[in-house]
Amino acid sequence: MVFNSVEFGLFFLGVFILYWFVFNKTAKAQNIILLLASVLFYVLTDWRFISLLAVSGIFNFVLAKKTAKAEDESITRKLYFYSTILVNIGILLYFKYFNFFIDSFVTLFNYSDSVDISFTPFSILVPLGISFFTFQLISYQFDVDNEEIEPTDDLIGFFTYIAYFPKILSGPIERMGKFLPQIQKKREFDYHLAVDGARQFLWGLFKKIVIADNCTPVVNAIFNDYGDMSGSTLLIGSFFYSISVYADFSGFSDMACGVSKMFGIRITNNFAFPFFSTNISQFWKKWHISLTTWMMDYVNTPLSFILRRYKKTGLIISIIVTFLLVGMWHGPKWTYIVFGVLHGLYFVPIILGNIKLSDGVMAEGKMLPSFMEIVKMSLLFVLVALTTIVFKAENIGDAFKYFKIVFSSSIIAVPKFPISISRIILGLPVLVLFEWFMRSKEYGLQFNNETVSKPLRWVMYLGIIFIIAVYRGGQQEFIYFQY
Amino acid sequence: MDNKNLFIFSTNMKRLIINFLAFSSFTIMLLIIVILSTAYYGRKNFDFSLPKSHTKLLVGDSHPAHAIDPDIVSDLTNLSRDGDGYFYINMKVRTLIDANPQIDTLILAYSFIDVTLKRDAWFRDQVVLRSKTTKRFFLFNMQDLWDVVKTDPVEVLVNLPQSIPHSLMNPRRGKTVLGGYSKLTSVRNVGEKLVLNPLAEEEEEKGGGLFDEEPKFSVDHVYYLHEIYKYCESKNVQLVLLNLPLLPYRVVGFAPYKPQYLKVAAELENAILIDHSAFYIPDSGFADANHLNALGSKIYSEYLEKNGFGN
Repeated sequence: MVFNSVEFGLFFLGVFILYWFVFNKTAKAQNIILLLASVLFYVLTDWRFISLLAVSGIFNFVLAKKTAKAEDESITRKLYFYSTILVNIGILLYFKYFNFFIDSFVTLFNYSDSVDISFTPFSILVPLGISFFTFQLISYQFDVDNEEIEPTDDLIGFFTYIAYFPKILSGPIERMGKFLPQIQKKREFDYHLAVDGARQFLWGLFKKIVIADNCTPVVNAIFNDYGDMSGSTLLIGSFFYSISVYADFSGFSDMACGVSKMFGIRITNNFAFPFFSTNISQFWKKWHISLTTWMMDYVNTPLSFILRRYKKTGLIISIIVTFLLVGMWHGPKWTYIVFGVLHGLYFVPIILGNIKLSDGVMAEGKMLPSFMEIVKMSLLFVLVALTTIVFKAENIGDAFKYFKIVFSSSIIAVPKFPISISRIILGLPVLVLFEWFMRSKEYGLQFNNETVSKPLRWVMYLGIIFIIAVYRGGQQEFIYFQY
Repeated sequence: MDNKNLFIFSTNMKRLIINFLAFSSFTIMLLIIVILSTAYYGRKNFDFSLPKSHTKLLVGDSHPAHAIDPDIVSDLTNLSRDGDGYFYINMKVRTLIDANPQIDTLILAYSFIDVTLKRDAWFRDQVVLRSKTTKRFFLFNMQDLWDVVKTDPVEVLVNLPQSIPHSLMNPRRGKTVLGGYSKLTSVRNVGEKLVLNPLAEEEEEKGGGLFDEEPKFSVDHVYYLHEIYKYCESKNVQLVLLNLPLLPYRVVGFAPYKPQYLKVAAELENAILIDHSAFYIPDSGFADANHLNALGSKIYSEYLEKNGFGN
């Protein structure tokens, strides 16, 4: 069940009524209805792995308590902790990466030896949202072991944390320390938060339906027949793909945050206008924030600590390993790994040159960016878009062929698109304008009620709804559902 | 306890519900008004008039769209369009005959598989509903709207606002919106296809997925064929059902549906039935398994011109 469907609208309405009007007396009752709704949501989307979610959850719930009870630095504690981490990673590796590793091993073996081994991949179904909920469970174990949080005794709250339906399919990778305190107390209906949620949902819907769903067919047509296109078309195709991934994933995240706010729960905003960045570090602080912070906290920081004696080399190694894992998180493909490594390599000049980077809001307090900021933003956008060619390609060979055409003389040819791009051209300025003027906020429609009058706000909502209704693309699957 | 905190009657919740209902009702009303008024604008400003000398109107799907060249066949307008089911043809015919009283003959291209259940997809399929309903909404009357809404309420209603730009642009786009002759330049390469993929060719000879092996018959397509006939009768327009040239194996493949088609056609008492499916066109006159190319179209159009269609 996807957020932009009538089925979800009815599901949400039902849960909303039960949550605020029937099960509204205690926090526990509210959590029960959220948990039941989440289980139903998961089952309706794909029932086959609900048992995996349950078993994995109980295992982590029990083991986290045992880890916490064991003495600090004791072997028992380490045993509990590492076995839990290994089991979680093992589940992820089995479902997502088993075939990939075996296949890569066989290819390597065949390459290095003259013996020919064949391998028929196992038919392994990937449970929905496995990367998201497994990473949540791992972070929970780390946080308990590091004594940043106490393990919870509240089984319903714990399962609500894992399975909470707005975030189960595509994140954010929420931390227990942020989520649990919110659901441990009874939620009172907050009009402003609910309206804020509805607006954020509307903005997410716009990004998904108008931008991503109109970009996807164009991008697919370009990438499927890239051999017949000019370099300029392929380059613009990569721009559209970057925009499409952003609009699709951040649109989903906005909808997830919006839905959650309507239940009085704030979840992590996964995006903070990443293309309004002037350097790669700033970009990753604003792109898939929950994954980046997870990787920084649990991979990069410990690794750079271990490698601290190697100074800059250590930093470079740790950042490349971190981004390799970021790439690999997306799935069992070499293209994802290369994508990650490329992003890691983008950090090298920054580390080597000791460059101080600004992290804040772009052109803060100003209406428009400076010329240099525009140049840097554009350059960064092109660099990121080029890496998405690898990300989208079927294999590395295809990516190279694509690059070869992009950097050929046909890059100066007039681009010709296999499908009309008129809807993208109409939608993009709306996206850019709203996001630019709201860049210090959480999302593109988060108006300040005191400075923007109600009639003006309603006109803008109405305008966005009209654009969605009139220029919606054919429904495309959420890109990040596959991860 | 403070009453304001009892959710079921809380002031905040009431405020949300009232604002939500007010805003959504206003939005829906406005959308309906804009959809209907733009459709009205599109219809009012569309030039439906055909040349006064054109007394024959040809409609159908992609087959006639590529087969009959109106520059060769005199006094004929070809407004056939790919994938046009009889539902959409019906509204096109109604509007054009109303606007052009000189039309005395409606030529409706057919093939025997038009009575198969698969043809109903040209009315019921979600992609068709989305695409054709939005593009042709300016031709709809209330009954047409009700017919498509009954078919798939959610798909139709959710996509209907997309008719707005089409309704606004259609007068400028002109009659190409409704259809027209389209020349194909490619030539079907039989030998290559057979060598490369004999299984595909065999499959194609069985019908190429155009119909089910077990005969299942259309409901909607046939219903709107009757509607077209009734309309022609009411306007004293002669309905001519014309089966266009096919590849010989297609003639064989479609033969099982001939009795059912004839049964349906027999109910249209005053319609003239012409079967040119076996009309010889060389292989080089076909663009693919189903469509004539420029050469085939020229041969066939010249034949029609010489044998009565061109007055």
